[in-house]
Amino acid sequence: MTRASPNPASTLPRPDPVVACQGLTKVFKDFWMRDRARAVDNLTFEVRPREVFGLLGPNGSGKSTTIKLLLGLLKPTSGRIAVFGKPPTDVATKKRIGYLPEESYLYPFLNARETLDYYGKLFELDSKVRRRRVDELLEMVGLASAQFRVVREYSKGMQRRIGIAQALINDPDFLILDEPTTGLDPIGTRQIKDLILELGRRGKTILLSSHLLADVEDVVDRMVILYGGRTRAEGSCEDLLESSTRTAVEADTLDDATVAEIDRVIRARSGGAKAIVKVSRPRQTLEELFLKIVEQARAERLETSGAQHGGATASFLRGEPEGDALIGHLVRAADEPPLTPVAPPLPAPAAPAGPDASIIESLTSGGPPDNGAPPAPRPAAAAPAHKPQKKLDTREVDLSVIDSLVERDADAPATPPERPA
Amino acid sequence: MTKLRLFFGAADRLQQSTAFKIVASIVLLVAAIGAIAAYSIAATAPGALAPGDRAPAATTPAAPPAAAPAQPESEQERIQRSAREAGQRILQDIIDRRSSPANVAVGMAMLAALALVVVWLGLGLTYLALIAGAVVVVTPLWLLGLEGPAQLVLGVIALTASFTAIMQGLRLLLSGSYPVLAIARNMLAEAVRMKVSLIFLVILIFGLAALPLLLDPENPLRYRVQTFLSYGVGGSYWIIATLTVFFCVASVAFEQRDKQIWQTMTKPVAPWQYLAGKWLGGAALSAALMVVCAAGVFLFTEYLRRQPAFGEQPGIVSVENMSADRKILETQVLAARRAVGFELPLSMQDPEFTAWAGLYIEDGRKIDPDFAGDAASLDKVVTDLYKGWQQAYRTISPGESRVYVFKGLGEAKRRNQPITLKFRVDAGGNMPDQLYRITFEASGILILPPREVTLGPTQTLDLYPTLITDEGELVLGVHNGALEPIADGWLMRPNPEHVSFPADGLEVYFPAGTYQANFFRVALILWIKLAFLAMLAVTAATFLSFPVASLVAFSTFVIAEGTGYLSNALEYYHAADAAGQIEYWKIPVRAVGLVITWMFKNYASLQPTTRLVDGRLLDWGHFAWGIGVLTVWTGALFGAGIVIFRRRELATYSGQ
Repeated sequence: MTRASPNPASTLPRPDPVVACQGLTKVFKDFWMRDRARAVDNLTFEVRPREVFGLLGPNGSGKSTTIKLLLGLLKPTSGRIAVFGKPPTDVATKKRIGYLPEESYLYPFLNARETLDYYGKLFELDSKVRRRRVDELLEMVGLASAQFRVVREYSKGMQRRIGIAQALINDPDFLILDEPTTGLDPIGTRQIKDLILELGRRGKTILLSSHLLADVEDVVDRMVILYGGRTRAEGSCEDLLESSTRTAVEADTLDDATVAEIDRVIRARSGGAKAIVKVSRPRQTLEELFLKIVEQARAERLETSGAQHGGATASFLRGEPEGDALIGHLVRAADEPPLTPVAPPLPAPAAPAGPDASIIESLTSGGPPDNGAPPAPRPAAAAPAHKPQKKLDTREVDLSVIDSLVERDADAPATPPERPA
Repeated sequence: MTKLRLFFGAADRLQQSTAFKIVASIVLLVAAIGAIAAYSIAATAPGALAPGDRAPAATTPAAPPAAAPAQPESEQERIQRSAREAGQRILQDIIDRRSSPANVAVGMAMLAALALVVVWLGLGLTYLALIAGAVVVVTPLWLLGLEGPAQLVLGVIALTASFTAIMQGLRLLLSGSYPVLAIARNMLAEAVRMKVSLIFLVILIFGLAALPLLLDPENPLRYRVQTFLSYGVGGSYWIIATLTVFFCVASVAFEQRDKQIWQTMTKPVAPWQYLAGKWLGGAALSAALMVVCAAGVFLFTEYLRRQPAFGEQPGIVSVENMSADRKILETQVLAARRAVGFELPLSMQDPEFTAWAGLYIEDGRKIDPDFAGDAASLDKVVTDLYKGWQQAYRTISPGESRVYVFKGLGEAKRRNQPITLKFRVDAGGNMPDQLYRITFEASGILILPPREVTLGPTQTLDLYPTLITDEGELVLGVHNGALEPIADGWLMRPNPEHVSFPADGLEVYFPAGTYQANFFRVALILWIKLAFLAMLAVTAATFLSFPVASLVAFSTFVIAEGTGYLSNALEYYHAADAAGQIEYWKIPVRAVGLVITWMFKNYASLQPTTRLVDGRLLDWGHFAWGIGVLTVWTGALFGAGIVIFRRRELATYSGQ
């Protein structure tokens, strides 16, 4: 998982925010123009370019209202909003925005293909581009085999998948996802998370609204927590979540003696001030168990009339050239030698949502899983300098403790893992 | 069910593929060329039936009158003969067009062209299925002697096929990658897949297909044609208008209620594009339906036209043996005639009338000093006085006569074709068993014998255009009674009571265009009205919920259509009563009525269906004026809709 904390020490000029809200207030009034609900109250925040920004809060905290204000679906009672430096009603700006509402409000009489085609036309996409993107998105959300069924026959989860696809049809620079995982099964949820991460790696700006904290925690760089329409907390995940008084170590199963030995070492090195507080056996999460079962069923080719397993992220969302541009590139490559060194092969599509997908992906791309560099980014996507895979930050751990334990452990592998730099 | 749908889906994708279209086109072309060649060989082979054999009287020129005058005809007689022959030529042309053998080959070629269009619209298999369905359903009905239901099924299938093709054509036209077109195309999909519009479509198609079954074959042909035109065009228009109003309102209002609009308006779609797309979708749907209905009505009218008229033998129609029923049908119903009313010698502003009115009011004030004391009372008194004078001018006492002058008939004289005097006589209680005798006199020539007229119904009298003066005037004298020649002059046998003509009860009609062009203009005007209604419905739904917006839009439509009646009613509706007492509550009611009349007077004055049924011309000037006015209104509504829509908050409080 990635995390990109802004670098306050940077001397580069700070880029214009994608979203800037200042003193934003929205009061809903009744028929007699009396105040009925203050949904958003003096809200000020910024969403910076190429970050995944979380909008958190319980039901009724003002998340969706804030999003509707950003999209021009509501008008603020007071305060200012700018999206890409323009008012929310600016039509041209909307070409750069993808929006997934809290529920998928689709035309029930259209089928999945017609739905995506319709939204593609609203973006004035050329028919070839549209056709290719529709194909890829249907494949990506696992609805290729159900594409000719009308949407009214879809389950809620399938409708959600179409909703997600329509939000991506224009390859948006700024993606607004309002409760994106609502109605999705764990696989779909996992896929959404992977998608957000992938888009984040490509330098897209994402505003994610959710009250499912686990979803948000895994993917966002910064967040604001709302309650009663007001900001209660704001900052990066590390800032808000990290405990400075605890260290967790995960290893293969240890016997009591080994644990006691570790405890002894800790006590010895800290002069008795520190000790193991808790020893537990990690449980497999329900999500991991569920994913494993479904993967197994698919491997056995059991039939389902619902959504299929989602495919790889659409190539246009991975930044690959589209249609004619791709063909043109290939033709040029065949006719003349390239003037610039050939770019390394693009990373393999996101692996099917399994627990180790990110590791497999980083292995296939030839780089270490946590080297921080996004795999073969397009120039536009190269800006995020550091989005390391989420893992234990070894710089903050006393490595000698672990080393000493490893050397003494009789069950240790013959070749100990390389010490992190 | 799902498998069946998938099968149809697969078949649809097949018929839309280019390979299928190419193969089907080749098959069609080969079949069409073969059929035309076979027909040509058969038609030109020795012993083939000559076209003239079918209706010899129709193709031979009209024989000269048996009792031709021996002495040289006078100039007046020559002109009259020339006009008579011109009238015969019109009828002869009509008969000739019906029996031309070239029509068969042209028809085959047109059918082949239509089939190619259908194939390239991606409907080849759909049409094959429709034809197969028609054969399977209609054949047993026909064999069982159930011709009515068989015709109904055929009509439904034909109308459905036409509608499908036109809708497919519209989908292709609107397939561009542009928000307005995308939204419009989406509406077309909605129209054929949602219940709110499907119900109307089914009613329309079944209604129109069933209409021929309601025609009484015992009625004269002209009445059957008029009835069919009236219900076919007028009825279809009302159904389509109702559909347009409800469908456009539903499309915009439900999209806001069900929040699909969130996903549309968060895309790069400007408010004007959204509204224009919705309007275009509604207008395109109404255009498709109007074309289907107009084509259906036109073609079935042509079919009816070929049926025997009252008193005719099937298959034999010539100028000589043409029945009065057919003659009226061809010259007064399936025609485009201009109507001219007589001139009133006095207007309300005429000094003679104002002086007379002044004297009347002065006399009234001698009795009652408050008589016509305020502006409203004065206006009513003067208006009533003028109406009374008009009524008196249209009334003739028993045994008396009056002269009416019709102006602006220069075109009728130039065309040198028979003109028609249309009149309606009222007398007493218009007892149906009473016959009055009226003697007409045109430009000094008595038209004898006197006409026996029934009271109430409209009747006609053919006149020669030679009766029109070089200034384009026709001077018509009307005698309330029968003038009969006697040895030393004329004897007047008066009718028992006064006779009068209603306001439009005495008019001269003359041919001023073709029925086909008139039909086209009428259909186009009706569609322009529907497009206006579509915009009205879309604008109403931008800020009102479905029930309220439907009520507002439909009420406006009904009021606009009824403005003619409202205008007539307002002539008799005044705040002041006969005694000059003012009922104040009537003042705002009348004011509202006057505003509505002013707003929709142009809309109401078009009267396209009435004109078509009466064989009256909707001339290009009137047509252009109507289009201009409706376009301005539509544009004004569009502007208002944009302003309202931009100010609207499309989302609502989530907690609501």
